[in-house]
Amino acid sequence: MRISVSGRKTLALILAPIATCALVVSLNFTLASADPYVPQPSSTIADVGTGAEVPVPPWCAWHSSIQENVILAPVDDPTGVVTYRGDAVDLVFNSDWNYTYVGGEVGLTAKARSSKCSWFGEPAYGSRLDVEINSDSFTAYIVDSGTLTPDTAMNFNLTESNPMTLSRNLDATCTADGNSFVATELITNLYQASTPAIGLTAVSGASTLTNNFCKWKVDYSIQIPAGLEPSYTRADYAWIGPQLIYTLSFPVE
Amino acid sequence: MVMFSGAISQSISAHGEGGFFLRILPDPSNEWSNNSKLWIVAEPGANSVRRFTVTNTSSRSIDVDLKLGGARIIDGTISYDKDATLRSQGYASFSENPVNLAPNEQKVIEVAFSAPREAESFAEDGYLLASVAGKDVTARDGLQIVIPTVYQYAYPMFVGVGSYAEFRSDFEILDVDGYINSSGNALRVFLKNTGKIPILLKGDVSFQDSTFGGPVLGPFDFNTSRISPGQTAFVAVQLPETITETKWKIFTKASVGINTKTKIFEKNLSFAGISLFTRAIQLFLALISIFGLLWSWRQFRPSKRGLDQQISDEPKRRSWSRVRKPTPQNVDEFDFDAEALISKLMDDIRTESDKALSTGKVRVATQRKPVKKAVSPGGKVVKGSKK
Repeated sequence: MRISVSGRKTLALILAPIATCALVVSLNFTLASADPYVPQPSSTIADVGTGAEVPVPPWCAWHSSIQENVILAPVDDPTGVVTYRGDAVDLVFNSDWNYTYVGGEVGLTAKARSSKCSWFGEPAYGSRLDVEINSDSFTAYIVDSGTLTPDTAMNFNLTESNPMTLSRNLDATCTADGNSFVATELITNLYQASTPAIGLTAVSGASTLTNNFCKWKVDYSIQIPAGLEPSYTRADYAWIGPQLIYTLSFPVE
Repeated sequence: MVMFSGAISQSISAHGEGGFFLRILPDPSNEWSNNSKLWIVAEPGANSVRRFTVTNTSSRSIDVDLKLGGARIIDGTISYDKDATLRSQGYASFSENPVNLAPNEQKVIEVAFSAPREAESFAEDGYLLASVAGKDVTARDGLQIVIPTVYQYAYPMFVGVGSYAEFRSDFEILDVDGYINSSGNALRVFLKNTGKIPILLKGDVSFQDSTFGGPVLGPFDFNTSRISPGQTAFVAVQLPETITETKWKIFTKASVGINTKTKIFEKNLSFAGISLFTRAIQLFLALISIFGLLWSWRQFRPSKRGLDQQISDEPKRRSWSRVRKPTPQNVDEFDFDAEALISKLMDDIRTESDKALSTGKVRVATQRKPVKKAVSPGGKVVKGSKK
């Protein structure tokens, strides 16, 4: 039986929405994977073995190393002694490699094998390392045979125009698969305590394995402003700045 | 350089590098504290305690300062907020603060919460902060500028102020269903935290054929990560191949501390995740749908054959119109004069071209096509000729 043109068109009008719906439904069944629930770690079926020595690795944990105190040196003469003559003095500190990693032991300077530690079925947790300053003041002292005598005339403060500049460089491998460190170029100015903490490294819990590893350097630079007038001449001065607070925290995701 | 490390559970660390290590000790006396999380319920008028160890992994003495810090929640993630304070901060005290540690020494520290009797009940997330200052700054000769460093942990904690009964862990086993994940057949156990305190659940599931009875397969254990108050989560339990798609009695058990709940589900279990049969059906349905759509579209689109037919019909219509159209009343008198003039000029050019061709001097002109002329049925030239 042959269907007329108008009959075919009527049939097509009916069939088209049905076919569209069927296509949407079939694709939805295939692709829908979003779940309103928080997925939990899956448990595994334990293998049953007979008597044997079973080495148990240590628990995994986040570790981070930082430089202990930042001692700035003159840009022009890093090893020399600088005499302050009323002109601005640029100072800089370049750190060695710092290490942030997941592992079973402290003091690692290279990525460990994945079998070196275990989360023992517990969900791994991520971490982030932040840095901040607790004030903006540099207090001047006269150094005399190891004794520090304050001289307020030589104090100075960090300002928006004279900040402490921090720049952090992650090693290229930090962002590689299995390390998963969040990489963005980081150059920032610190000049007040209320400045939000600066994120140096961050890894989410979902990306945390048993051997995430990253090495990074951080440089600081500041300037002793011009125009300070010392109360005493022929004296050795030292400035002690605000505390640089590094915080290794564990977000709950 | 100093190292600082954080572990939520037991840790074995080599005591070589500088730094310190912190670990929360499980407390089996309460269901919420029998884990390595720093969760505390402070009952008004009572003293609630959690313990943790602080280990000096350096070769010098250190003082570890302890305090509590606030948290912020952004998109469900709880993180340390240096500007936030903990509401329960005033109720907290430490058994030793700062904690003085000799090289490689470890101490057990207690954090106690003593809320006053009249304290209102509330719950909050926060952080335990443990910090160590860098070495003492000693000046050397000449100009120098030192920025002392402090390195600290921010360790997540939960504080509930209220009666123990109010903060008793509670949860519901909502449902189970089968699915397939990357490791094979699995069972999802849906759980809801109906209490006011976060929970970590442990449990298991067992299976028995619903129709024929027979042996009980299992138990298959599971552990959850943190489920916050009011949150629904699922845990995936990997299943062996013996758990096939059929009707099962599924015995589910979950517990937090001494609070254990069980639920029996009778379900026709199917592993619908990525079964080959289901995939094939979906693919078939999708193909049929696409075919139907294409067919429907074609009904409203002119077919190629129709188009060809239309194109091939066009010249016929034009030739027919050529025969019928040029009636004298449709032609303007002025147009005839102009076209007659043009035609005459073209004839002159053609004559000249023929002459040139015959002499072989000019070849270009011979290539030009003559102007088309419509011819009437009687062979009379219409264009360029006067009526």
